[in-house]
Amino acid sequence: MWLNEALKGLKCQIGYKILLVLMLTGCLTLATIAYRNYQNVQADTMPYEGLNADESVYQVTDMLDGEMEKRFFQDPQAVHKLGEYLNELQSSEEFPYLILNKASVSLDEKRLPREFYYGAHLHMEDGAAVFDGWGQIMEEGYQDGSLGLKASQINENLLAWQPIPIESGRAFDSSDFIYQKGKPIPIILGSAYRSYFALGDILSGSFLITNVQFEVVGFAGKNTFLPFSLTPEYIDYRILAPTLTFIEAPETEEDAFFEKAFYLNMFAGYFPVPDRSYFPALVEHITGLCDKHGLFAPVFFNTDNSAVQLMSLSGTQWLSKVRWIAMLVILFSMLVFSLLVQASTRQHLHRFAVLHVLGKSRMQVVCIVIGETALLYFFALLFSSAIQAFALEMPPDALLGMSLIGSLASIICALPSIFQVMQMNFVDYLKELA
Amino acid sequence: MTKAADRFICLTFIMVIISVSFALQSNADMNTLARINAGYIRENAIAFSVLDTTAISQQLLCEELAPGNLLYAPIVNTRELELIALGDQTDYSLKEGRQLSIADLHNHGATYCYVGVHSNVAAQEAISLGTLGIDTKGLLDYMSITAAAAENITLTPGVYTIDGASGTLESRNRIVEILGAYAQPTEHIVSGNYRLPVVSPLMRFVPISLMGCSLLALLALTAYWLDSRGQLMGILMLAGIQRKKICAHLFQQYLWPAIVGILIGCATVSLVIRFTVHSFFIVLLSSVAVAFFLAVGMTIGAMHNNKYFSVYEVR
Repeated sequence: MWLNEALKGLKCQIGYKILLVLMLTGCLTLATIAYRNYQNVQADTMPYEGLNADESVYQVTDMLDGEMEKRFFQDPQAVHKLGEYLNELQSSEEFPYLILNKASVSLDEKRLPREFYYGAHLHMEDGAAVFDGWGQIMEEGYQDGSLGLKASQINENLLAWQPIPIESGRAFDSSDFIYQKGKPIPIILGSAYRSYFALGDILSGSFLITNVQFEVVGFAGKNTFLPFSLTPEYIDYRILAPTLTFIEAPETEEDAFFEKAFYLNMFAGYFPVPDRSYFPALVEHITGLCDKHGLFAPVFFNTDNSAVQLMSLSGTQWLSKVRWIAMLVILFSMLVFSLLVQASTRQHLHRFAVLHVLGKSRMQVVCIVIGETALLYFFALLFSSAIQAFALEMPPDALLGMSLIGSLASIICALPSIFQVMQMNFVDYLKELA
Repeated sequence: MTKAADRFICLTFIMVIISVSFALQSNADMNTLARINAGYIRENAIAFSVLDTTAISQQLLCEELAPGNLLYAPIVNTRELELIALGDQTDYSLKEGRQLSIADLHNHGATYCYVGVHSNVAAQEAISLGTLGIDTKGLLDYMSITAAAAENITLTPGVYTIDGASGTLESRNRIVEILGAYAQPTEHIVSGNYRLPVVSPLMRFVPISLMGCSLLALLALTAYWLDSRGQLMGILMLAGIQRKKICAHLFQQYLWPAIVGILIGCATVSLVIRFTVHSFFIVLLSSVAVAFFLAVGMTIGAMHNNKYFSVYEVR
């Protein structure tokens, strides 16, 4: 019954109703676009949200020259000492030690495009390579196959500090950081590798000048980047390998070299601290450990983390702007629609008054108001969905979300009109009209 | 009902002005953010390669650039830009200082610079024209831009970038034509250091679409407003007042709530948004124009609609 009356109401003032539906269609389409966009931007900026822009990051490295290194490794226990030191360093909870070091990997089977190798940046224009002197050397290395693929070594602490978004497969787990002879080294590939390799592929190649086998365990998400550099390193064209702990004693000379190379590469790393006041305690912690294990003194640098900080900041700023626009559009459409529904209800007050006097209860009149509003919203939703599905090619989940939000919004928008009808003294109103 | 109709018109104008102004401001802010994050060069910038070293008059380069276009030397460090010619004047976001204009480049031998508050560059010999930056912290605070005024400029091999909101393609074509065999067009490669989130191009149409929706809402409410005055018009007609005069009265009556709404809306917007006087007057005048045209349209509609003037149809 109330639906019948609501339909009758829609037919009155048809020009007004058409304008209302058109306005609402535009607003709903706009609100969905804004909301979808907010979701996309949120997904894009998520990797930067975990970064703490206020943190200070210190880098620690060795300054061993050839002679000093030779002297150090004359000690037969040198590699063992280094391993003990690194294990203790990595297990500290007060000063988490993060390792992110560049490495070079060569694969036997496949030749990949130029951008996967070191020295490719800034040398591609219009699909053709532009070379300066250094670029020429790199190009020759690429041609004869001696150029290494871009790769990075990371430790477990780094993954805990900034998890790497994984598109498919898995991230490294604790067992991946322990070296097991004869077992392939697990690797995570940048998203650009997806066209060349698949999960579970076993690849032969060399790592830190040692022949090894790798197993592809995962692919990183697109645009994933690694922190701690002036210009953030995107890993789309990069291989990620774990740092390794060697539990068993090396059997061959090659094994011993591999262990030594790994440990030396792990000696350089980063310490994020809440602020600069932690620096003296950090120095004391590291030098104490070095003394304990009879190691050479390391050198500290304060890294320029500004690029990462700026990315984090920029992501937040973008998100806030897009969120603001989405909220603005939704709020605007709801407020204006609410006003228009109120105006429409006022135009029909005499009809509602007559219906009430003729025996309809107040609740039935309210149902008519809700019905009219819901029908207007339904038509607008229908047109807006059609525009989005056919003209803007929006996914169905966006349309479903919009329908649910739309249904709720139609009731909220009808509230002032419902309140007006609930408060109205219809008899007095009719007397006044008469 | 008439009071309610006035209130609705007033409220709608307030909401329209506030939301459209905010949408315009957000759009402008997003454009600025995009420019800053891409190394303070717009994504639609254009470039050309100089193949061999050549010299060219700086004034000639400036003349060939469209107004608002800026020509940068090859970018070695994304945080340090070197401006070598400009269309008329720069449009940098400054915390303090002034923009660089062509007239400054007539002072041959002088070097001008802009630095961000956290920039490491200290151009001792350069004349500082201002501090780069916006209200929020960002890459611009770490950047520096220098511009040397010289009679002739030596263009060394590399990629030169022309930045500007419009006219960059024409500027490049003219410069490449002058340089002849020394130059060829190339694509501008956006610095990969500051990859931006993918914002739908449809978002750029939000302010215009909001204006369209606002206009539809105002049209609907104007129709309602006119309808609410039907009874009054009938009574005035019965009282012997001419149709023309009744319509003139309606015109005045419509404009009042509209103007009040516009003034409240503009006042709110100017308190909340950092509008320039220029932008404030554009919003104010365009809203008044919309209200005026709606009032005129409504009056003409009323004049030609016998429904309102038929005493028998008065409810």
